[in-house]
Amino acid sequence: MKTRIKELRARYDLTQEDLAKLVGVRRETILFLEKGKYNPSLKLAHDIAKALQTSIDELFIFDDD
Amino acid sequence: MKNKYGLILVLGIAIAALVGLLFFLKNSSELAVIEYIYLLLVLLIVVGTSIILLKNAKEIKIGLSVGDELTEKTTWKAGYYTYLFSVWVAISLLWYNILVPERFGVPELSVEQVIGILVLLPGAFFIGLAFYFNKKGDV
Repeated sequence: MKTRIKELRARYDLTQEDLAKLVGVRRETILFLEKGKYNPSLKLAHDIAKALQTSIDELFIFDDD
Repeated sequence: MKNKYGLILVLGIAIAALVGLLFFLKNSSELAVIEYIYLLLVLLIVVGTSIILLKNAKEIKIGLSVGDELTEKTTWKAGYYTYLFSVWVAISLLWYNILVPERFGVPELSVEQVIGILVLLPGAFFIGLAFYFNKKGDV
C-alpha cells in the first residue's frame, strides 16, 4: 500500500509532528504510514483524510497485484 | 489521563527495581555469576524503562500522544511473545536441572535462582522486543 500523506502534508505545510498532533498519534506512526510500513485502522485513515481535507481513497493507493 | 496512569506505573517499577538493586548490593559481600546476570537484567530493565519514560514525558510535553493504536498493537504483540518466551524459559530451566548437573557436574539451579531468572529474563526480553517493534513499524 502506498500513501499520499507526505505529498498532501507538504501542500498544507504540515510537519509529521503537526499531523500527529491533529490526529492524536505518535510522530513515528505518521512516519511508518508514509513509508508504507503500517496499515492504519479505518478510524485513523478517516482522521488523517479529514485533517488533510481529502478522502480515504485519494489518500491510500492499494496495489491490486 | 490513561497515559498518566501508565507513566506512574512504569515509574513505580523503575524505582522499585532500582531500590531493590541498591539493597541487594548493600547486603551482599561477594557476588556469584548468576547474581551478576541478575544485576545486568535489572539494569537493562531500569535503563529501558527510563528511556521509554523520558521519551514519553518529552512527547506529552509537546502535546503528542504516547499511546496510539500502533503502540498498543506493538505492546500487545511484545507481551504475547514475552509470554511464549517465558514458557520456553521455564521449560528450559526444568530440562537444565534434569540433564545438565548430572552430566556435566555443575550445581543444580535453586528455586530462588529459577524464580529470579523467570521474573527478570522475560522483563528484559519484553523491553528489548518493545524497542525492536517500535523501530520496525507494523507487526
